[in-house]
Parts: sequence; structure tokens; C-alpha cells
Amino acid sequence: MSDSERAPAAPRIVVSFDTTPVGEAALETALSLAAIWDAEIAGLFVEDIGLVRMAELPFTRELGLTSAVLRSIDTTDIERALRLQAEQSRAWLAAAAAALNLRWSFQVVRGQSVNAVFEYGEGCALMILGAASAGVVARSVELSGVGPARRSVSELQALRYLSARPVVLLFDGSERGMRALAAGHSLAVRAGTRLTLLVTADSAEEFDRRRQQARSWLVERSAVARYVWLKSRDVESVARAVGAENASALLLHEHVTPNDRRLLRSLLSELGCPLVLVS
Amino acid sequence: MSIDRLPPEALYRRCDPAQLLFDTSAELEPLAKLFGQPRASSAVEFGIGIARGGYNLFVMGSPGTGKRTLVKQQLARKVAEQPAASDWAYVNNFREPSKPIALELPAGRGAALREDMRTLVEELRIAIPAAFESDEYRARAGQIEAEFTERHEKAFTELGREAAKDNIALLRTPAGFTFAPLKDGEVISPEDFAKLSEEERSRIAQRIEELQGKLEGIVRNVVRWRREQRDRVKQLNREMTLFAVGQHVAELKEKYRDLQRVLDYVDAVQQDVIENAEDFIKAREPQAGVMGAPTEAPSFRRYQINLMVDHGDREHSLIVNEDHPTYQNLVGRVDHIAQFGTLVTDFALIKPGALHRANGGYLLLDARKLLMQPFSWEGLKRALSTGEIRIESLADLYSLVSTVSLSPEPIPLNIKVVLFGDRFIYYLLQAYDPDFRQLFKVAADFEERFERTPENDRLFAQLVATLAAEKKLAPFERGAVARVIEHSARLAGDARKLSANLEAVSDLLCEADYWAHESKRDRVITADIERAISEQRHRADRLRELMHEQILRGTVLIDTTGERVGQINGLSVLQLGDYAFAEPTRITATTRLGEGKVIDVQREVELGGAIHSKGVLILSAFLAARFSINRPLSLAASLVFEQTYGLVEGDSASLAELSVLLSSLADAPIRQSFAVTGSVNQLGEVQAIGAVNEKIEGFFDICNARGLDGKQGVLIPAANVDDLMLRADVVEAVAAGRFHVYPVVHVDQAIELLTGIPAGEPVATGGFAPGTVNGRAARRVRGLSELQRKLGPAREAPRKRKKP
Repeated sequence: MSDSERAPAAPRIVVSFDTTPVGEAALETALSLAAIWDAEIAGLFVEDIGLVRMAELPFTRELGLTSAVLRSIDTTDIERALRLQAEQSRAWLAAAAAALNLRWSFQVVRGQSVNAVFEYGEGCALMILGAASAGVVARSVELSGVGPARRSVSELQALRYLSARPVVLLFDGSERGMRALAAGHSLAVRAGTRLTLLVTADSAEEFDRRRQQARSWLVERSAVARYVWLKSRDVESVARAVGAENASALLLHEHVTPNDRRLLRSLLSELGCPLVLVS
Repeated sequence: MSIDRLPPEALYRRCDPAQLLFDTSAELEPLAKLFGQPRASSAVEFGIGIARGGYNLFVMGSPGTGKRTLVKQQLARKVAEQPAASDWAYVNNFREPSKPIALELPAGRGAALREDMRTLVEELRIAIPAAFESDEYRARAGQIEAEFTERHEKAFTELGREAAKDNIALLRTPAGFTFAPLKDGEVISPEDFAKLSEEERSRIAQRIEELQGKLEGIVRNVVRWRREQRDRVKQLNREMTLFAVGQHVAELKEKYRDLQRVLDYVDAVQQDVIENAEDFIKAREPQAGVMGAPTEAPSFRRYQINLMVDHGDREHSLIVNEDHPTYQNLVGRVDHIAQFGTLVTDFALIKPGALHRANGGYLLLDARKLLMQPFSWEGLKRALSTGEIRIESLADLYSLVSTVSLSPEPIPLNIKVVLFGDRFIYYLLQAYDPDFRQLFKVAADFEERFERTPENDRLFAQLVATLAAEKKLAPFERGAVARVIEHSARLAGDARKLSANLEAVSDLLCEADYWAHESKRDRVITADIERAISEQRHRADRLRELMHEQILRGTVLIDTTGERVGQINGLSVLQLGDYAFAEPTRITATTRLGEGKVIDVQREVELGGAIHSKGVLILSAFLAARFSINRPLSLAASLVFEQTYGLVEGDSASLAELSVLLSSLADAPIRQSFAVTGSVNQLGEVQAIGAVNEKIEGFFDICNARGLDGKQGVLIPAANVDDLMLRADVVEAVAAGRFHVYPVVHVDQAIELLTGIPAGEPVATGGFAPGTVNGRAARRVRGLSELQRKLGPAREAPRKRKKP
């Protein structure tokens, strides 16, 4: 199902988002980048098959987010809740895109979260994933009860998430890494926030070289960044470094993205912020 | 018994222009204060001066006597010496908004505080958002949030890892969390789960139950942590707001350090700003409307100063005149505004009343208007009794509406109330309202007339000059001023007095000025005054002319020549508003055998007033005492005011009635060329009456219209001679011997003049000399008595008893 209002035009940004804070942050990131590049936003809501399966299991019970009360849950409940969430997400995207005069579309798919995003985002400039895309959540639980449907357009435009914390970028000095740097820089400038580069390097010399490479590029644009040497690129190390920086979004290019979708889901679940995949 | 006619000089007391030492009124100094009211003036001075509870004033007297002028003159002098009264303001009560707080400030500082508070709010609208946008705030808020995030993420992550060790995933559902067993990294399908051994399924279920218990603990902790985070953010917000507000508030407090109540209020404002800093931040953001309607930005009304009374400007007088003393105009009110179909209010909608404006000064009220307004009198008394102004909504008081209302803090009242009214109202309140005596202890009673002395004539001339200057009239020549003085004496109805009716004088001056202007003169002369008086009379004269016409055409029977037994010309006065005129009225009498009663036909048909009836009863007593002292008065007489169809009141016709009775008894014809006015007592003495000038002029006009023959005239009580201020044409006719005015002191003088027959003195043998009026009357009475004796006393027919 597509709600596109205009004919799609490159570049196209796929964003998988939901109504959690990280989902909101993902949409905010997507909107910012789309505004910078005049890109189309393709919203994707994945009805996680894992959740549907879970509801079919005999002993499944849900612990209320706010009430902290355990209650039974079945497939019907889950499907109804997912539909509602999708509707809210769609309305939210429509309002935000209209406010920024952006092209947009929205699609609901059922499947394994990350896989679905990759299938749908084939050939897109960017894929942005909220943590929920991983289907496994362990962070950033919003308990205040303030849902996205009540957020105003003005609040969306105010970059509620991005402006508060730095944009973090995994930088390896490659050509794609420079594209990720460009994207990260644009995002940080638009959000009025800082930029942090997690520079992957096996040695201090390599770190210095890559840092100098990034710094030169940024100096030309009168920008500065913070540089953190990331010796190991495993999921735990990246997640720890991102957590330490209290990142508002993490940008990766696809070559440094774990091929194993399980690893990617694991990273997403650990991050607590949107993941931006730059192709 | 001869009676002297009054000479023309006695009919009109002139004001000699020569005694006025000026050419025109423009040369005279204006009057510094009202004259001719020494009693009222000293009462007002006393009432204003005494600073005791209950010493409010009731100023009474006829309209136009200068009550307000005198009071205002004296108040103006008093106020000039008095320090300015306090300003009063209502401010929000942040603890109990329904009970606004009253602030007292020195004169002029209320407006300053209002401006200072407005400036403070404007500055805070910039300073507070700036503080919250600062790097420091962002950093500290970020730290708090990061700490919270770190804490609860750690808890969830550890739980997720613990679950993962048993191949169980922690899943986020749309409304919460759940656990599910995994197979190959994916949530296990129900089919695969069913294939597991019973033992394995049981182990998983038990493990999930353990994990759910831990999750429940974490979620509960997260709620607590979130609360802690909110408290810390709130504390941070308070610190930042205090930083933004502190300097401005400190400056304000320094400025008002001598006013403790203001300092308390500023502290309360600071506290409220700190607790509601979000309002100042939201005010900078565009607000989303409700259902498409634009929404107001957060309101800062609660920081406004509702300045009820501002004495900063000295022109804002301490003398307040409330012309429309409704309860609300007097005590103040609380307005409401409609919001979404509901009436709401707040302290800023409290409106002051006259009591607020006059607090510390003087409030002038018209008693009649005050009493006619529902609840106003009670409201005023309550305020004066309690010494405070308490604004209470009448609608609430009587449960007429059920809207949210306020109970503003009462304001202490220090006021002097001056009520203006008629004597009637004063004595009515004295008699029936015990509170009145307690609250209005000073009465200033204004005279209607004052002495006509040379000194007062000069002051009166100054009064004319003052009014002319105030009303921008042309200057008055001294002859014109003298004529105004004479007219004032006429208005007073007494040649020795001047009227205190300043309004009438003022009107006359304005109208004379008009006629002078019409005649292209730049100064007012005597002729203009005459014209003004004449025009005034003409405008009010329609009914008089109509009645004269009826007399002259013979519709109403009045003889002015010839003589007739039992018929006399009385004189009646008609008062129409402020205009009075008189007409002759034929009074007739008949006498016959009877039981000593004089039948007053007017009274019998209830067209006679009590005073008139009293006069007639006096006649009966006079006749009995004079003619039937030793035997019953066997006389019946009837008296009629012919061709009158309304109420006859007063005893001023009793001399005429007695004369016509004597005429009938004595069979002595009365000359119809005379008219008579005056009251008599039991002894036959003639007593003074009112409106003597109008009465003489009323008969003169009829005679004059028919042609004066030199015999016509009016008999008046000698006691009224000093009241005479007759029209010039009457005086001229008297001077020419064509009309006459006779002062009489006794009925015998009158009857002798009226009949041309001697009245008759009592003789030593008893009775009166034969041939005199009294002698003939006595003989007639005696004859009736003898006849009565022969006929026997009238007896009541015996009643027949009915058998049971």
C-alpha cells in the first residue's frame, strides 16, 4: 500500500519508525536529511512477525508499560495494537512531511523487522532504522504517556531529539565513509548540535591519519567535530562508544554495517538511538 | 373704625440702585463663599472638620438653595489642606485566587507598581526562555536525562542479557513488554514450541515467569526513577528561573522596601513564576488552536495590578460626586467574561465603586436617588458601620446565578459621606431608621430665605457678578442688579427677605442675558430683567389666562361691582410646579334655624382639607361665643366655595367665610368690589396667610380687565403688609387711586369695610348696638333661639321594639 502524494524522485530515504522515542528520533532524523537533500521519505511500518508469533505461544503475558501489570495477550490484541500504531505513525509522517513540504509515502509490511527494511530499502540513499526495527527492545522506554499523536508539527520542526545530543558517525576513511561524514555533518548543522566521529583504526597512526582526513574536510566547511578512537568494531564496542557519547543518531555506511542481520538487530537493540545506513 | 388704605410705597420695597456702588457687575469681585446661610455653613464646617465615626452629614433644604455649592466650596478648602489619600489595588492571591488581596500604597505609587509589574513580566518573557535556552541549562538537563537513561537502560539491558542466556528474548509490544523463547535467533513458532518436551516447555515457562517478575520490578523502578528525574528537572528549572527572575525581583523589592505587603506580594509573584516557568517558555511558541480556532498565548493576567484607586494625579479629586448611586456604582462590582459558554472572573475584573474612589475623602450623594436604588442604602450603611468596603455580588447573595465569583479582601474605609435631600427625607429617616441617627449625626439645614439688609444686597450683587462670570453672561447694570434683588424678595414672598433659591436667580440671569443679546446689547439692563420675568410668567401662564377668561366671560361667576347679602369674593392660590397664581372665588353663606352647626359643604363632599375644616369649626366657635354665650346656638349655616371642583385646603379664606356668615346673619350686603384673604381665630383676630402678592394680583387682574373704578380693592391681614412685593402695574393703580389694599387686624374691621355698616361694639347692657352688623346678627340669632324654644328641642322618634 502506498500513500505517495507525488511521483518518487531520487534520492529516497527509507525510514522504519514507530511511536517509541527512538522511532520518533528516527523520523526526525529522516525528515532533517530529507529537507537537506529534498529527498522523498518512504515510511515503513513493520509488523514484526516475531510479535505475532509470540502472541500465539500458550503462556504469553504482557507487562504494561505504564501500569506494570501483567496481563494475557493474544494474536488479536497484538494485531489490533499494531494496526493502531501504524495508523498513528502514518498520520504523524503525513503531518510532518506536509509541514516541511516533502514528498512522502507510507507502507505497512509484515515480516522480520530488519529484513523487511532492507528488502524495501533496496537502492535507497539512506535507510534509517528505529530501535524497534530490531524487534527486540531493551532501551529508551517512554513512560510519560505522551504519544506521538499529540505532538504538534512545531515540536517536530524543533528537532526535539537531534538538537539535544550529538550526531555520531562511524568513520573509516573510505569514500563511503566520507559520504557518511557529509550526511552526518549536514544533519548536525541542521540540528544545531555537535558531531562526533568514532574513528575506526587499528593503530594510533591510522587513527591520526583518518582524523586528519575528516578534520580537513570539516575545516573547509568551518566545522569541528569530536574524534574518538574506536579500536574494535564489534557490536558491543560500537554500542558502548555510542552510549558513552549519548548519541542522537548513529550513521554507518553499508560496508561497515554488519552483514549478519542478527548482529545488526543486536546493535539496534543496544543503541537506543536511530541507525542511519548510508549507501 | 376707620381703616387706612396702604400707600403705594408699602406695596413694594424697592432696591435703590444708588446704594450699589458700581456701574456694571463686571467691576465686582466674585464671591469667595456662599452667604446668607450661617447656620448651615457652620454645620457643614463642623461636619467636615470632626474626625469621628458617624459624623456624616445630611444637608437638607429646598432645591436650588446652594447646598452643593456651599459644601463643595468648604470641601475644596479642606481637601487643599489635606494630604493625598492612599492608592488601592487588587492583586492576585496565588494561594486562593478567589480571594484577591487588597494593597494599599502611598498616592501615586499604585500606578508605578502597575507599570513595574508590567515591565517585570515583559522582561521575564525574555529572560526566562533565554535561561532555558542557555548552554548551561541544556548541559545540566542533558546530564539528568543521561543519568536516568543510563540507569534504566542498564537495567533493561542486563535483564535482556540475562534472558538471552536462556535463549529468551525481551520483546517490546505496542503497549508493554513480553518475553518469548527463541529458536535460531527468531521467536519460536507455536508449532516448534509444541514439539518441545513437556519438561522443556515447563522450564521455559518457569524461567519466563522469573524474568517477568524481574521486569515488573524494573518497570516499577523506572516509574520511580522517572519521578526522581522529573523532580530534579523541576529543581533545575526552579534554579534557572530563580536566576532569571532574581535580579528583576530584587530591584522591585528594593524600590518597595518600605511597603511590607507589596514585598510579600512580590515574593508570591516570584514563587508563582518559578512554579510556572513553562508559561513564559510557551509564550514564545506558536500555539495550536482548538478545532481550528486561534488560541491565546499563556496569560499573564495573574501578575497584573488592578489599580482600583489612583491618587497620583491631584486632579483625581478626593471629592466624589456619585450621580447614579446603584449598589454596584457605590460598593463596586465583580465583572464576568464569557469563556466557552461559561462566565468566569478574576481579580482583574473587580471594578471600583464610588466608595473606593472617595476613600480618604468625601462622597456626595443625593439621598432620594440613593434610597430609590435597591440595596444601595443598606450597602452604604453597612460600609460605614463596619468601616470597610466589602464587594459582594448581589446575584450571588440572592443565589440568582451560579457562577464562580470572588470574595475580594475588604478595603478599610475612611470617608465622610454628605447626603443631600429634602427635610421630609431627613425626618423620615430620623423617625424610621435607627442606623441613620448613628451614621448621620450632623444635619445642615439650609434656609429658603435670608435677611434683606444693605450688606446682603451688596453680597447679592456680588453673587450676580459671580454667576455672570461663571456662566459667561454679559455684565449686569446696577439697575438690573437692583431689579434682580427685588425679584428675589418677591420669590421669597417677603419684602424683608431675599430668596435663597440660587437656581431661580441663575435662570433669571441667563434669560435676561438672552434678551439683552436679542436686543443687540452688550450689557444687561433693567428692561431685560423685566422681560425675562414677564416671559417666565407668560410661559407658565396658560392655565391662569384660561381661568381669567372664564371669569370675564361669566362662565365662572365673580362680581366686582355691586353688593350682595351672603356672597363674598375669596381668593384661592393655585400652585403649578414652581409657578403660583391666584383667582377670586365666590363664597356664599346661608343661615337658618338649626343646632349651632356651620355646614362646610366642601368638607361634606370630602373636597375640603383638614386645615380648611379647622378654619370653619373656628367660625362656629366664634359665632357661638359672640352671639349665643348664654343660650344654645340655634343656628344652622352653610358655606360653599362656588364653582370649585377640586380640593380646597388651607384656612386663608376663613376671614372671608366669617364675613359672609355675618353678612347673611345681619342681612348686610357685602360690596363685591372687594376680595378678602386672611385667616381668623376664635376671637376674630385676623392672622397672616401665604401668597399675599399673588392673591392681590389675581383680583387686580380681573378688576383691571373689567375696568378699575377706584372702589375695588383687597383686604389682607395687616401681618402680611411686610410681605408685599406687588407688580408694578398694581402699585401704579394704587398710586393712581384706582385700586386699593386694606390691611385688617380684626373681623370687625373687615365687615365694616365690606358692608359700609358699623360693625358694632359690645354695649354695657350686653349685646351690640342696634343697627350695627353685630347688633343685627345678634338679634337674628336671638330670634332663632326663641323660635327654637317655642318649637321645643328636637327629639329622636322613639324606636318600636319588635316582639321576639
